[in-house]
Amino acid sequence: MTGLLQVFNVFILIYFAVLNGFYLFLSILAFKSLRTYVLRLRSLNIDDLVSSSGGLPVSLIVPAYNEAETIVESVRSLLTLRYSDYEIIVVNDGSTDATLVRLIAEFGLRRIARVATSDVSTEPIRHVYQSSRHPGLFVVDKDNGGKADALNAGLNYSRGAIFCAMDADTLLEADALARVARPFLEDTSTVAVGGIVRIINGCDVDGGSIGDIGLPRKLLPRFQVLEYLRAFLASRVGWDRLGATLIISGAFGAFRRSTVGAVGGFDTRSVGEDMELVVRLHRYCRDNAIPYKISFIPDPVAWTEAPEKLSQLAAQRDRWQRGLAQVIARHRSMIGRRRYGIPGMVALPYFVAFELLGPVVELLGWVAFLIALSLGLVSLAHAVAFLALAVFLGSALSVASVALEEMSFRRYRRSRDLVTLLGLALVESFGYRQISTYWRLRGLVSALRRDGTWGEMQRGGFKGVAQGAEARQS
Amino acid sequence: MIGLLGFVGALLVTNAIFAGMVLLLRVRSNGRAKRYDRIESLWEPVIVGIVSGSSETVPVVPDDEVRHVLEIAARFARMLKGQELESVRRLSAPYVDRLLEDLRDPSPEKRGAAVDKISVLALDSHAEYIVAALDDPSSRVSLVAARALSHPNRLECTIAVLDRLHRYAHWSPSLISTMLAQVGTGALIHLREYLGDVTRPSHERAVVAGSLRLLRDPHSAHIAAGVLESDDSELVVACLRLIEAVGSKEQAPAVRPLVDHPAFFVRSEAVSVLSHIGDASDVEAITRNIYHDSPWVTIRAARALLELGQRQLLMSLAMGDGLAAESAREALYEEAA
Repeated sequence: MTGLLQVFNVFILIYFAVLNGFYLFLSILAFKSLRTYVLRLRSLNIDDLVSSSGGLPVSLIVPAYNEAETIVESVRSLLTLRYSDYEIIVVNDGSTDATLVRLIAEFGLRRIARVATSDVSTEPIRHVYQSSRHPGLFVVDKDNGGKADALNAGLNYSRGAIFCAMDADTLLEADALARVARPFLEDTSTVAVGGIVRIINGCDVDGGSIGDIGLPRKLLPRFQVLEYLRAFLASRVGWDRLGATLIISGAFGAFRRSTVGAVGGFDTRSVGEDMELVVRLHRYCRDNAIPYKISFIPDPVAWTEAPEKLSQLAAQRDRWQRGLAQVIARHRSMIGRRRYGIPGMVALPYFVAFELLGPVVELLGWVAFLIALSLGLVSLAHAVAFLALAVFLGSALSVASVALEEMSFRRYRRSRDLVTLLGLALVESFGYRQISTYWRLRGLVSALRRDGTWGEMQRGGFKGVAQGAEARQS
Repeated sequence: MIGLLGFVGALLVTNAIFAGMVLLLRVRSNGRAKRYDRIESLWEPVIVGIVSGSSETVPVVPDDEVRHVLEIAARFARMLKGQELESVRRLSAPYVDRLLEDLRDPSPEKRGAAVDKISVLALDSHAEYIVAALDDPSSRVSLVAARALSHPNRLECTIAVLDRLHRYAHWSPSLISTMLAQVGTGALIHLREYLGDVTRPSHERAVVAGSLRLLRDPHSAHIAAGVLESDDSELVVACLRLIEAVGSKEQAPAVRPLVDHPAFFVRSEAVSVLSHIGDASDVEAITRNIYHDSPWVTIRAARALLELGQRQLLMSLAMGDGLAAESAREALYEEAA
């Protein structure tokens, strides 16, 4: 028993070293990439490039389920995007509130005939509407089938060569479409591009666009700001450098319509439909020897509302973990196979070992650690030293992600926000990380029980977000 | 115990140093931003004065402000034309050479930025550097140069740019077509020649066909018609679009066989072209296509029937079910809207 415990503790040490080594490696790659990327943006004038693109039509697909609070303002904001050739397709996914009624009243919608150009199977379509005031605005009204099903309906009725999937409560920056379209112009083999998602809580929103950017007033979304910086600027930029982008956030991602149509659209059985689609695209292109590129770029920005309540955040993390488990289970045959390149040989094994099983290993590590401590197999000094090291590495990586933000986009201009972020990086290891691990563990258990629910998040709407910002300023 | 405290303390200090470095980064960035803002607030009115003609004298730019001023000048220059642009160029002329060292920088991003700024501020006096950048090892830098040289005043560079089209093979064809079209009608002879040259790669000829379409060159329609027998679908589609934009009945016989092409995107384009240059004899073939299994073909066929005056036929089709009926309804709806 004692021997077993010692072996396990050594395993935990190695696991810990490899995990942090990986994080460090990704952060270094991200640092290199961001430096180059910022310079590259200066060498190509985005506006000039897109205005002279000769037309790369983009369809924005906005699935909406009970979004009456925010949908009108969201659509108004989307109508002001700086892009020459785009259509907006709002998919009302069988909302039980006034989502459709508000859209009809606000934008003068009328029923039209429109042929579906893809045949991805979806729940029945009731009607398709077009705005009499904004000819590029369409609404597809359908029976409820979930987000993936709504996206598929939007895909079927879209006409752009590129479609952009986003959440109804997400606010795109005015040039976000132009920026996310750029990789498609630069490389015709590009099949998918992810943009960065930032947290809107605490920012001023005026007329559907972001004004003053600041940190949320509440602690929980503040921690999420730090998490998002780590996830997007360190992790995703790093993975992109390796050519192994596996996640493009459902809140904001652009895809080549024909390729997504060829793989059958989004998987309606998955709660992690965004990651599942990206992994499937990798698989499809490699299986069929199609040259392809899937990228993450950090300058097109989408702003989203972060959960402010523990229960909502718990549900979100639970769902993310279930989604990850489903994706890995479905594509397990890609793991470790050379034909799937870095995505199959490195990224997927990483996701299995550290993202999926991480919470289990962490829990077992704690248990083994406490037993070993109580049996005297590990001295208290070693235990404290190990914990201190774990906290240090966690904080250092968070500080590194704040540094990446600081050297690239510097969205949080107030110095006190920067100090707050650095302070959060130091304290998040005391409580927040552990509770996060618990939610992920719960998600894994739910996945094993095959729970396919989404959970609901109460939206404050952008006005609510702005009120939060006002409160913060006062 | 002391060792442990020392270890924990060392970690804390290291973390504090990291955080401190980020704060220093902020201080440095703020300092740079302040400096840039100061230079901008100083030089923007000067540039505005020169552009508006209210100020004649061009002050000397201090050595350490040259790069910032050139940056501001380039930003203005991108928005200006004619005399106003020339006045900004005059202001920056004595300092543009400072950017030349960036052309030798190992970073393609820096070289690209330099090419961009030089071409905006001093294309006439520094054209040889921009032409040389066409052969930069980075295709991105080469493209920045090509975009700068694709201008009516740089007609002599058109062939040089055309000869480098292979370097931009992975860039969006529409982007390259638009770039070439910016040369204007002066480039038509070269573009027509390129389209008709069977020794050139099909992909590049398709790009050139796109440029001719944007330039709406009626004389290229017969060249495009001659290319329609090509095996390359991309080239055929580009030529069909060109004929659709500028063609006439003369090209219809070459287009007609393509309404039965196995590739749906060629077929749909051919149907669309015939709606513009075809006649009543094409109604049968187009009607056949409204029953095709690709919605892209059926929609084009429905619109084509409407163009050819087959409204009654379309209305009767719209009464039914299936893709043909849906397409008919969409075309009729579009007409009504």
